[in-house]
Amino acid sequence: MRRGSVAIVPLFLAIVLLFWFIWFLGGANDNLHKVNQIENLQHLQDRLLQSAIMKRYELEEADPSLSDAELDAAVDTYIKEIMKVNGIDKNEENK
Amino acid sequence: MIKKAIVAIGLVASMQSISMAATQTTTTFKAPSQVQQDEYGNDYIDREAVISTQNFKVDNFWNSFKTSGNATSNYTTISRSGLFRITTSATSACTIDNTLPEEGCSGQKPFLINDEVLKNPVDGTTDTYRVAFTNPSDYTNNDYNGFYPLDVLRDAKYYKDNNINTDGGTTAPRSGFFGFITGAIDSLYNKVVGIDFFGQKDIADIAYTPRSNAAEDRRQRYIANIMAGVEKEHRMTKNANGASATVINAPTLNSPVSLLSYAEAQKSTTTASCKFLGLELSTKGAMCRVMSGFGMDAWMPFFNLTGTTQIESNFLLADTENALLAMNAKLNGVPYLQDVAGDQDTKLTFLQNIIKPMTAMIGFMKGMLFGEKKKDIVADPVQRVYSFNEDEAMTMTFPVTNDGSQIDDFAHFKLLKIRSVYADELNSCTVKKKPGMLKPSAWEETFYIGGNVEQKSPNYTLWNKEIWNSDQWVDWCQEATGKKGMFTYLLNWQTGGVFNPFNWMKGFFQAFLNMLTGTYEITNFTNTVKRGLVLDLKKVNLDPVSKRNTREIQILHINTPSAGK
Repeated sequence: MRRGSVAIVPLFLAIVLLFWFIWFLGGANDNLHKVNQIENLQHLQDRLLQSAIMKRYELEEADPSLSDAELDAAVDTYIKEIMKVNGIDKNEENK
Repeated sequence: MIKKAIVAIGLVASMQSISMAATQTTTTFKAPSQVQQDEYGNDYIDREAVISTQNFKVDNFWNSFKTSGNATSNYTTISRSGLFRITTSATSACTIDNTLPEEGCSGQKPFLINDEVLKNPVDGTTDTYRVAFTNPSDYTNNDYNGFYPLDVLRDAKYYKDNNINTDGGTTAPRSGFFGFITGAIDSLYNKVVGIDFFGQKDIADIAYTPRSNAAEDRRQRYIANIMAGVEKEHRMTKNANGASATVINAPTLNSPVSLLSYAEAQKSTTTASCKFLGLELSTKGAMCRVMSGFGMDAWMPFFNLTGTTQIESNFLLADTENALLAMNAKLNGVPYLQDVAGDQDTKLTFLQNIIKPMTAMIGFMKGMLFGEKKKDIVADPVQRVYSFNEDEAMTMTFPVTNDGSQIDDFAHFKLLKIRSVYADELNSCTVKKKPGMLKPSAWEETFYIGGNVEQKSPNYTLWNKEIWNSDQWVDWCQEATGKKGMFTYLLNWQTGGVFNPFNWMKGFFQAFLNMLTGTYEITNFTNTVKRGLVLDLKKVNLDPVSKRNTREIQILHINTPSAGK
């Protein structure tokens, strides 16, 4: 018993360390999660940049009478819709 | 270390409590840059686009287990901006037939112009230019109104017909890239036109017999280069490939780009099946039928059908004209002779559409076709004008040179009009006077252009005509054979909207009277038909949204992200 009580100390320390590690990883995970989300968004934006510029010329080709402002607005709407589909843009407040 | 980095990121993405606005993405475009040219002469603009997402939210899972901090991180702005290059090339052919492989098409056309052309717009102020097809052998460093054919290498698969003609017939099976090109030309001359007004005016296609495969190869390559544009692999580049001023007749090219001539494949045709107008008219042609219908040869004895009409044909010119016409007619999608021909500003009758006075062009064309010194003995040239709708017209990129040593620049044009010019020239005329009641004996004289009179039998009569000088005889000869003023009479077919054959016949009638009063006969004449080709071009910037152009979008760079909070 006496011998055993000494032996529990490293085990106890190990359990404390484990809990600390879980706590640490959890915080890190949140940060990593955020970085990840932002990077995902930026990759999506990268792709959409190409789509936007292609779409703009396609729209202009389809209807050359459109003004620059109208084209810009049309592409803006187009990208907004894609963002909604991807769950980025949200209409509701405070969500 | 790891923790430090994580803390740093945590600071950047610090979790502050922000009002919970909705996530919104906006897309904006910056104004495009000035139009510039790449090394192949394609136009490009650079343009920046920005996508920016406001109030992007990330849920903090772990925060649910903590007492401090926020459940959601809010990033006010996360945006990316990209710079794009939008390159436009004038690949008209590829825009109408998507079976054409893209590599076989480009905007560059195998025509060289000197930079002097660009300093010489039609009326001095506009951006319209008038250039005449000029033989490579006439190349000069400062030709202000000519364009020259170029030979540009081309991969065989983009113009050669690889199918073997198995049935032994003359019609080869056509497929693939070259099939498109030959098909376009065929449809132009067989199906689209329908009426064969000038007969088989396309001399090159019927009389052409290649002396060598290499020559035929160059010819096909040239036509393919006109119709589809220079192949991408062999595009000309600015300041690099010099356009050699040496005319290449050798079977192999000695430089990537050279002036093109297939003179060695030319063939002079002397058989004139219907040589009334001095034009090579097919007996099947409507014009020839009209002539026969009037029975001209029956009641105009002086019109000697044994006369020789020499067709001086330039295959290079005919091929250039055919290819451009075929392509543009196809792009316009209409039978060009019926719907496209004619100036846009005036509505003209069918005949007027086909035959028009040269007006301002006369001097220019005469000089081009015959040289200045022969101006006075040339019958009025006649031109057919094919006008094209500017929206539908073919866009073309021409290499521009200063001194011929290199390509300095490229210029883009829309092909608005093709003027096909014919003119003929009387080379010699043999006049025979038969013995008659008042004429004691026969004599025969041959009058050559240039004033030489070869009098075979020096007998004289009292008739006034016998004291004519050679110029007057040449004049008479031209009139009698329909060489002089013929086209003017043709134009007067319709005076005040009424068909007036007498007006037309006036010239012949005069000659006819001459024949009656003195029994002169033209026993032989030699006549040369010459052709010219003039293009009306409008200088343009290539419109990236035009259906005649191809648009390529290239990412130059994506800007480093800025992750705001």
